[in-house]
Amino acid sequence: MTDGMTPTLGAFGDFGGRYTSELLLPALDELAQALEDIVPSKSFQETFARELADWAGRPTPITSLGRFAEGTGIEIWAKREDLLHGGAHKTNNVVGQGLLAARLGKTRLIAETGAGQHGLATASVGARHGMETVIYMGAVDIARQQPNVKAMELMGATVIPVTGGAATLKEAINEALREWTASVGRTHYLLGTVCGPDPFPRLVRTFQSVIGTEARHQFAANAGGIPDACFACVGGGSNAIGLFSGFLNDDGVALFGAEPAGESSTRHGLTLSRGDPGLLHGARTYVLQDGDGQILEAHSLAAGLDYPGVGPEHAHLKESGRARYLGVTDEEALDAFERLSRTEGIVPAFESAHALALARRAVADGLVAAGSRVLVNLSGRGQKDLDTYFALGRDSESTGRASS
Amino acid sequence: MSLASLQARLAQPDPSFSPFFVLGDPDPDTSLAIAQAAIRGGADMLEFGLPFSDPCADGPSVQTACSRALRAGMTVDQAFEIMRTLRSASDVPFNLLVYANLVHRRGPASFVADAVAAGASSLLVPDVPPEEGTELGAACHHAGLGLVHLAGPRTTTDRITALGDAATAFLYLAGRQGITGASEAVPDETLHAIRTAAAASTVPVCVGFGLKTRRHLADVFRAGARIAIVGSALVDVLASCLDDAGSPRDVTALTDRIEQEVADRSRWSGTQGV
Ligand SMILES: Cc1ncc(COP(=O)(O)O)c(C=O)c1O
Repeated sequence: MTDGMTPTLGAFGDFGGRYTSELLLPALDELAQALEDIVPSKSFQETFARELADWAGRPTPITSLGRFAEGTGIEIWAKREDLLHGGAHKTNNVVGQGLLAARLGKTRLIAETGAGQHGLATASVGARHGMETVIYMGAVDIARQQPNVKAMELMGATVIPVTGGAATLKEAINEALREWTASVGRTHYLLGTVCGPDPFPRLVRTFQSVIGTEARHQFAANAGGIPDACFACVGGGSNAIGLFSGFLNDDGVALFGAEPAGESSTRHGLTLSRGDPGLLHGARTYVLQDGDGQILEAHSLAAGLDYPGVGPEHAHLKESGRARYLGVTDEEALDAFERLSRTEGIVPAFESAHALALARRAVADGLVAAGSRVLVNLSGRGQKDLDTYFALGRDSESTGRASS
Repeated sequence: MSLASLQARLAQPDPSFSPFFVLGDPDPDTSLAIAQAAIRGGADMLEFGLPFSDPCADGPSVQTACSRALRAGMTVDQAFEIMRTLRSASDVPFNLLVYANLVHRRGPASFVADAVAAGASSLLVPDVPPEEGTELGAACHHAGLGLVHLAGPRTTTDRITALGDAATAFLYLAGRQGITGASEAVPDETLHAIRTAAAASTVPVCVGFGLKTRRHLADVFRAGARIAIVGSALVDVLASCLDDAGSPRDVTALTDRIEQEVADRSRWSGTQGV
């Protein structure tokens, strides 16, 4: 590379690295060391597994979505992270990082949140460990995810609104990084997805890989063999990495990430499909940016996908061709949200609805052959999105449709 | 060469005072006039931040300054243009503070070449530590641009030495563990860190983050700093001269005020006190 910048620390190919202030390096070193020494230890793994089972409700099942799949030409199975304690896959990561923070002697947790799911999950482990918990959340997201905000406060967390910029996930991460710089020492920054400086992408992947490990066994037991393809939505990319990690070495399993195509060609969050390499939040990865390198705002109906960056491992999976990333519009996601509710009695999170929508059009798009069996990560449940959904006024239309 | 003018300045017995501004704040024309006023006020060095959409090392004052500049349409090319204009009339050294993605976007070699052509003496990229900065270091070395590394009040002595060895212009010691923003006093932790850094570093120590008054400058110079930077406190003065829409109420009043604020903190001889 003649005029590039290539990462060295914790790199996934040409992506990742530790592009942060010197003032944060000691904390990142400490965490990287803990990932090597503490996380693989028998005592940590046993406690982690027990906590996931007894407190968080793992394993989550996989469910065959027979009625939802009608007309698609494929068999669709869902990994039910919506049934996990807290209502989304975010809980896997916070259980792991919460335990690690406790082992490192930290007494305070800070976290960013977009949809509020990660904030909620962090507040819950903060309560479980008796740690002071502070959540940074964009003011726009606070307005659209009120039930989650109130629940975080109920569990004793302080929610700090972040203004400036688009006042969504990117700004919340900026503020959490600033706060962490000032409070390193007794504070652990519990980053909620596979983005950020090394070792976060590796750390979060480690804790989310339980999704893929379980799903692989369950698919073999319930459906037989391995799926032809996996689908997951991609915000920062943690639920997708979690599922993909179980099948990365199976060349026969195609991997697809659903990115938010938003409402138009200028209002979207198509980081991998439309962005290009840059440095954001400590990693070299794909970003939405202008010609100078200013980061652009992302847009999605799904607050958890509203992010102009993405975890560096996804950038690598894209470049290597191992995974493909495609856009799903707000409208397509809403259709899938309604369809899953009506056909299977499961209300998915708006984020997860993106993955469901992509799976439904997979044959039409030429992603998989007719007759394929696919696994979709149902990353979370839709309760948090009901206020937004009802405010769209689609429910009166759809009720009309259903009764006609 | 601009790096030579920085080195000549640092070779003088008296320490250097540098104001910090975000280029393009509140708009490109006013920003140029503000920098000219700072030079008239007697600044020994100027530190310029290029506005960035996500300034993670900065507190509210500089964040807002970045937003004002970007809203006024400021670009990297325009920032270099302002520097070229200033350079044609002055040989005051310029240290550039630039977030990594702006450097990455042009590629380090191109960015550094453009910065040197615009008159920059040195460059600090706060989110590229030496471990990730091989290409950047090589580009600076090749183009003759001074490289600055950041350290903090809790950075270990060994690490200070390593950072100083990796830097070619000076070591930038953040006066506090955290982000930029003006404070009311210089904490003892900072003064201690300056003394340690001055002893451990092979390059001159510059202090920024949290400094505000002439007394603060006297304190950090006495502890061994060779450069002191006042940023947020001056940006706050600038902001106090803007209307609700972020435009200067009176450009002449604003630049006079900046000139005065800079003059109040300039012209050190020896390490005399307040
Ligand atoms: C239910 C759900 N799915 C997906 C996401 C996106 O995050 P990630 O891409 O890290 O899985 C979120 C984020 O808040 C979420 O709440």
